[in-house]
This record gives sequence, C-alpha cells and structure tokens, in this order.
Amino acid sequence: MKILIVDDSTAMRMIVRKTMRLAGFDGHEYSEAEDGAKGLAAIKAALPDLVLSDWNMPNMTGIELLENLSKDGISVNFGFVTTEATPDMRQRATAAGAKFLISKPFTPESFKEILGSHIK
Amino acid sequence: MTVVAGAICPLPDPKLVRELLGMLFDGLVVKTGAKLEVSAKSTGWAAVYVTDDGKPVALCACDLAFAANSGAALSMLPPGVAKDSIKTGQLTETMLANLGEVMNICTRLVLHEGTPHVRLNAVCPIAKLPPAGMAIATAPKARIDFEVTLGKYGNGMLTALVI
Repeated sequence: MKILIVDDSTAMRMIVRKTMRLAGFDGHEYSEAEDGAKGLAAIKAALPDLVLSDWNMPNMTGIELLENLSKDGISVNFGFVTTEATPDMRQRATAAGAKFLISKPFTPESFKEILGSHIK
Repeated sequence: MTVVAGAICPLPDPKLVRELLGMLFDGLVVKTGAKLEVSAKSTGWAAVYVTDDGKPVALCACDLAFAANSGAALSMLPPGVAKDSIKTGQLTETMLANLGEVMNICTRLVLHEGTPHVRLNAVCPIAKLPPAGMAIATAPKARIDFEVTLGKYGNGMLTALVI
C-alpha cells in the first residue's frame, strides 16, 4: 500500500512511521508531506491508498486538506492523527469523510486496533 | 491530567508525560521531581504556548540537561555530545531544532478536552523569555515538576506552568 503521512513536525512524521512499524504495518511504501498544501499536491500527483494527517498545520490544515480533496472529487482513505480530539473536531472530521481520528499520545496497539481494517 | 481552578490550561500528570514522551524516546522514566528554577537566572529553556488570540497561557520549561539530552536522543546523537553541551551550556543546531519538536509535541501536556486550543509560540532560553512568558514563569497559577530519564542519555527536568 502507498501511505502518505502529512505533518509539519519532522519528529511526529518519524514517530508515526515508527509506530506503524511497531504495529506491524511495515513493508508498505511510505511518503511524507510537511503541510496540508504539500499533502494536497502529493495526493494529486500520486493517489495514495491511505493518508494519515495532522490537524493543525501551517498553509493548509488537515481538515482543509480533506475538504479540498472532497471539493475536487478525490476519494481517498483519510484519517487524522492529532494532538487534540474534541467532540467538535470528531464531528467535523466524520462529516468531511475522515475514516478515523487518532489522538496523541498513541501506541502501536492503538494504531493496530484503529488502522487494522484500513491496511491490507 | 489535573484541571486547575481558574487556570486556562490543565496540568499534566506523570502518566501523560510518560505516554507522550514515550512515543519519542526509549528507556523513558518519568516521576515528579524537584522544583526547577524558572527565572531570569535559569540556564534552561522554555516553550511558550498561546491561545488562538495570541495570549501566552502556559510554559513547558526544562533544564539544560533535558534540552541537551532530548535534543540529542531524538536524532540518536551519541550521549557524549549531549554531555559536552551540558558542560559548555551550548546546544547544537540539531539539538535546538529537536527541542522545538519535543516542545511542539508537549503542547498536548497543557491541552485537554474542553480547554481552549493552545499552540506552541516560541522556544527560547528561560532567561530570555518575553515579559508575558516571564510573568507565567514567576507567578504561575499552578505548576508541576518532573524528573525525566531518557534511557542512556540520563536525567533532566521538565516543568509545566500555567496561568
């Protein structure tokens, strides 16, 4: 599978990749983008099978990224990995078509449980 | 996580610090610790967190050892490099960039469902905090101090302060 990680924090992208590996999701093709705008460009250039996106990012937030994808008619398996996870955010994420929202701190176990059905 | 009466942000407990920093570092041990000096005389570093309207409401401060050790550990630099920085009081560019990443992730320590959204505004030496940041350092509504062991890199101190 092609998996895109969108986060403005280098450390966080590294941690997400490490956690994916510890959760047993290795052997996939990972790529990264540093904000929502770069994520949108990357998705348009090569549609990934799964997008793991932060929420708060400069230039374009994660939810704006998802809403832009929807506006452009691009359908992709998309979920959030975020610091905050308020009920409002969850509602907005679901309404925009997000498949899941993982809040920090997370563990390999929580990744396995939440992402298991999205990764082949 | 402890809700502080009258404060905008909550304070973390050792469990949250352990879970959050555990995503970053191996061999992590977190316990409540001695009070870190957070004043114009400090040699440590601080992160300032602001609300959406730009008001500083919380700090995560650390001693030089935590700054050097976490900054080195994140890029897996040899522990000796961190020890040299502690000796000289100078962090390398990589350590500083990594400390920024650590403090960005530490935003979660002063966030809780139902509390206002805050974001990292700046990371700077404690002694060079802007007045609004120094005001939190010197007269917080509440604070909690942790002793953090980062595996082979050693111990450091991390403190959360809120108004």
